[in-house]
Amino acid sequence: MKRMQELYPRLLGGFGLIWAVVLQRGALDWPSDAAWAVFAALWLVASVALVLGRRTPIAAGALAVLSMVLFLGPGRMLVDPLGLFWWLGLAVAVTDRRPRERALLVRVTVTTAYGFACLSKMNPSWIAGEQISALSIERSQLHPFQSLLQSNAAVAIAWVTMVAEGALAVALWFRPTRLAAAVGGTVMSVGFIWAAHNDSVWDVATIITLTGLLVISYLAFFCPIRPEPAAAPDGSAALDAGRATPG
Amino acid sequence: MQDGRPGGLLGLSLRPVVIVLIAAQILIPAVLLGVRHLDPTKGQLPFSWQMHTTCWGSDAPICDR
Repeated sequence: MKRMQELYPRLLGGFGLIWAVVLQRGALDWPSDAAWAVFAALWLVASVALVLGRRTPIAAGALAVLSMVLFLGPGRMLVDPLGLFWWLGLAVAVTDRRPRERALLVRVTVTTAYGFACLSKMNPSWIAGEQISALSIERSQLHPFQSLLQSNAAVAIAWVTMVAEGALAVALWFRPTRLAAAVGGTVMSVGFIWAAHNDSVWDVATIITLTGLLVISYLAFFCPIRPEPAAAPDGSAALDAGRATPG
Repeated sequence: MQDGRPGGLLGLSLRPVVIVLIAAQILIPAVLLGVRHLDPTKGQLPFSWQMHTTCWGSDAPICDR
């Protein structure tokens, strides 16, 4: 229980600090220096408070509100990572001393992100492997594999990625598949970061934060969302606890 | 521990705020996806691969290496 109550908000705050790289002067088109300075200061204070475990609900709520403010302002193109900060911040803010509810809300965020990532890839361009082929041209680290990634292998990678994201949305909920899904999702995330990075602030702004927030949120799937069954004299509760259903 | 009373949907006893947040997390991207499906020039694909192409050929400061 302490993992969702104490550790998870600290991890969220840690990613808030990493993401603060995006708030360096000039990276986004701020309306004024004062607006940038105030926003950056508030973001850092909220993130540090989360890391330190001080006033966690207020700090998490502030991070969520600041994410929305940034999305409505100069950070509109950062919708995906800001969306995660928004939902995960809200999840922590409204579930103080309610670790089961917090775990449930975080699980829903992870499933939604993977589920819609899968659905969004169901388009002719992705399924034909065009996006993978284009990435192999755009990213220098993929140049050694360019000929491979412009063959049918690109189609295979596109399909595997789409199916894997759809599977993650479901498999993390069930005990028999949970650990394998978490390991697979982590490996896939590392692969994404390596393949898509271009050594710019954009890496931190999007793929590193996006995949990182999802991976730390796997923690919620290893925490209970339902109350422990009351012990019955015949031991049936213990049998129930071992069943392969979401929990 | 204040949560965890048995009952309700799937054995969960959820407060309205939690139910609203769960519904919103599912419905908002679904609407975005639906709008995009009906008119590819509108709406946006939630959690799509598009974000990786934002810096392709861009000289925006956030894309500086």
